[in-house]
Amino acid sequence: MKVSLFITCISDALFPPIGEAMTRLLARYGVKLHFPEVQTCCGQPAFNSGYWDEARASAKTILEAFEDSDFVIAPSGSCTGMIHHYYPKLFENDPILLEKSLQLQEKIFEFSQFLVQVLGVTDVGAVFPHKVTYHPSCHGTRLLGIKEEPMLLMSHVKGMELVPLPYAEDCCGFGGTFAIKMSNISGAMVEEKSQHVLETEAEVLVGLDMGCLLNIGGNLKFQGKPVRVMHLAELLYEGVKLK
Amino acid sequence: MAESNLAFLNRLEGDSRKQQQAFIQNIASRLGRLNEGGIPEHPLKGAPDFWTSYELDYEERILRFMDNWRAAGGFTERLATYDELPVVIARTLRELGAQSLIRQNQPELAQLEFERILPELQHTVWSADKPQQALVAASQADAGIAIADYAVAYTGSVVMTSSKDKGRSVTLLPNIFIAIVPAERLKTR
Amino acid sequence: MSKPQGSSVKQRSETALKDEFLIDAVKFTTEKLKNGKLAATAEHGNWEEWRERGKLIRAHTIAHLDFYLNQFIENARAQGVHVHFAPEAKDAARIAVEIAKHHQAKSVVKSKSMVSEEVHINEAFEELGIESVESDLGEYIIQLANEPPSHIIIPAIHKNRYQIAELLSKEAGQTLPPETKVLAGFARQKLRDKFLEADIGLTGCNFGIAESGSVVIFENEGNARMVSTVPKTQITLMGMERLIPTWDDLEVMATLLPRSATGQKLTVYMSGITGPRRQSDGDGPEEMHIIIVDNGRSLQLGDPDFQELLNCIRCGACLNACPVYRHIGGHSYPGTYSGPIGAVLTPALNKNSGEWEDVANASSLCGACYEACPVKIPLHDMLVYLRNRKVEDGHTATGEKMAMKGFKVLMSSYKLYSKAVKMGQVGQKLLVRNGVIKSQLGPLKGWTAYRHIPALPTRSFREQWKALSTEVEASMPSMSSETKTRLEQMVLNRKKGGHE
Repeated sequence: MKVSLFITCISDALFPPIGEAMTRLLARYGVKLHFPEVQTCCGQPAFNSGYWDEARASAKTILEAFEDSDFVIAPSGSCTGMIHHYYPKLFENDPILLEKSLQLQEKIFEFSQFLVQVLGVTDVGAVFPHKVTYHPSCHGTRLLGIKEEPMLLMSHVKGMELVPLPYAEDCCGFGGTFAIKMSNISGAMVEEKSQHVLETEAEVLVGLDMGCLLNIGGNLKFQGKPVRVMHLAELLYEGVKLK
Repeated sequence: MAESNLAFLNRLEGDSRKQQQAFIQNIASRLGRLNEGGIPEHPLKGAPDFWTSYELDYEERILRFMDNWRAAGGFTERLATYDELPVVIARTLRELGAQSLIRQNQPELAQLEFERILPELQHTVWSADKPQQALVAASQADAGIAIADYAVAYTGSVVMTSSKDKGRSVTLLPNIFIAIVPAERLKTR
Repeated sequence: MSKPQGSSVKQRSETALKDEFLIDAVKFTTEKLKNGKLAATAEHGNWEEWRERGKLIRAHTIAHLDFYLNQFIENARAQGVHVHFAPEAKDAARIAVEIAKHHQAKSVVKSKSMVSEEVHINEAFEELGIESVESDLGEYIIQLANEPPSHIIIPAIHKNRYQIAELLSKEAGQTLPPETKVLAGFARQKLRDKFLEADIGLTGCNFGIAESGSVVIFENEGNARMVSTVPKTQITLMGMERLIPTWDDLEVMATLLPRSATGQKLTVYMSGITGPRRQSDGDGPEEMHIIIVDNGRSLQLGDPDFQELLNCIRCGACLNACPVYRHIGGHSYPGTYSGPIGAVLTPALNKNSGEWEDVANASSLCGACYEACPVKIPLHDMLVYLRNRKVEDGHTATGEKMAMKGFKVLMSSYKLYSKAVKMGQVGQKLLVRNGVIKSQLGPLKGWTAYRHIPALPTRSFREQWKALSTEVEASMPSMSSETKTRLEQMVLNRKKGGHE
């Protein structure tokens, strides 16, 4: 049973603690994670901008990395969604890689999906006595249908006060290259999202996607607001360590 | 000299017929068909089954219709018999200060004898024989009255069709529109 | 009629983002409409099934458009309708003007029709000195303001009641208070005469019913009824794809459209018009014309990426769901249509991608439009396909092409990628202050104008992996047999063709 970690380029370069949290948390269930090092990036930045040849070059490393894995876990609804939703399109003219894409589709799970759907775990035994609000990333919720899983996991965290985020389903404005290309519009969207986060008076903003959290967190920091921004894996692991 | 209307329309039709072929051909070839093909099968026609079997009973239909009609800003009253109609309509029109009424040329409406119960109003009956006059009358009438062909409870709608005896203008141009809905014509959806 | 200055969505949105009145007005109304839709669809129930049925009916119609359009035309002709074809926008205007000229028309009164906007019909009439008056209240208001509509359903969404009062007061020659009832009352009285005097009534068409050649119009004000009842000549503009096979199918559309557009169970009026007045009728137009408009719609047929675009029933739900639209308003978009549908339609109707502007980039691809669409058009996918078309046609900026080539090189090999990260870790030292990068130099500017970037940690995750995995492996428990069985079963189901 080979369970592999697809760390995603953002978490690899910018947020190593997330990978660590996932590794340690899953180890408690006897899940030994593998890390096939040929993985680089799912290719979404190039794909979404319309550069599909370039996206394919990157995506091929993902197909290669997880060819012989039974399960693949990624701390990102966006990257997981890219594979589920767009890899078959990206490789539609390459029968071999198309087949690999379809196989990968079946084995790849976003982190909270893996815990709940695959391991059947909803209570990791975490204690996290803080006021927390949750941002549901667009690709995760709309492309992958991830709605219940994070809520189930968070509902079992002891001592945590989960405050609903107003207009939670509104996009944070990241959209990958959109944030650079249409920076004025993206800026307006992230300012609005930050405003809603601040309205909750939460100490911690938690989410499933580092693209979104990099965006919202970056804006909150820009505004000098001390809200702590965490990936759900980090929060759960810290909650387990605290015990 | 300007074209006669018939000549104009015929010329346009000729142009149009010529273009129709090319227009439809363009569609067919883009869809990968060499010619139009036969009648397509349309197995999933209309509303889903769970909906087509949805029925409210008589009482529920009436209540639902009236709720919806009011929610949309309309006024509605429920009468047990046709006999009550003249009094109620007369009262309504007087309350609203109507000075003129146009009605569809329907025998059920004639029976209600509006001219007799509301002598102070100007009365017109829709007549297709004198369309110009009928239009003017409709545009100047304060109220129009008609018997609905059908009504729909789920949306709170009345259904009107037009004919020689039922002008579109009667239910359109006056400020006040009164629809008489025989309850047995009230459908669920 | 013109849109604000600026040759790109980015530039126009810059203006819009600074306009507080605009932002407040658009936010207020889109939220109201969005909530109205959610409430109405929840009350009605089984919304996903309705959406699926709506999608299937429209997709079926488009897949057999040659048959259904032909059926529609023949049935309409049999009822005495004069049918015309407009392969391009200018043809529609030309034909309408020719009809008007022939009848020596002095005035046209029209009800709401986005196609009429698309073909610039008012300008065409006005060029010949024929007055063309909008009778839909929202359209009337923006006609007075000499602006194009900024929303498919609520054309004057960008105006608040004070601005509207100002416009109508000017027209009235007296100061009208910013009260809805008074303002609507003025417009009603003003338009009444127009209805009664106009030579030609111009309408749009929500759905053509192929089995009877009928035109179905949904409206709330009654102006479309006026326009299609009083004037002697009626001209109806219809997009070639706006068809459904039967009256039974109309029930599905009548369920989806009003709820999606405004949260109503049904619009105040839904009219089914089958031909001009009959011999025995006392009213209705004596002459009825339908102009069928292509203008790039047929380009989508046979294109697996874009054919579904023709399923659109023009409800506007995508506009109300779109966070970008909410922030920049309809006038930031090029072309006639705005919001997500406009962002796809305007480029798609034009086969020259070099002329597309940057509208397909004005989206974070959040998918809210797809979620809102009553016929499930994957607009969020289509935006990516449009971007791809532009790239394939070579119409993107050189700088961007180079950056993407760089991306390709780095990401094809984990070794190169790791080296790049390493270089970043070192190179960033110039820019990092207190663990964050704030510099607004060069390519970073778009990001750092609103956000701080965290510094790259000194070691990436993969650099830490070896030590981490060794340590964890040494102390981890073994997998329970239940968990093992569970995972194995999942894999087994998979190999049999099952999906998780």
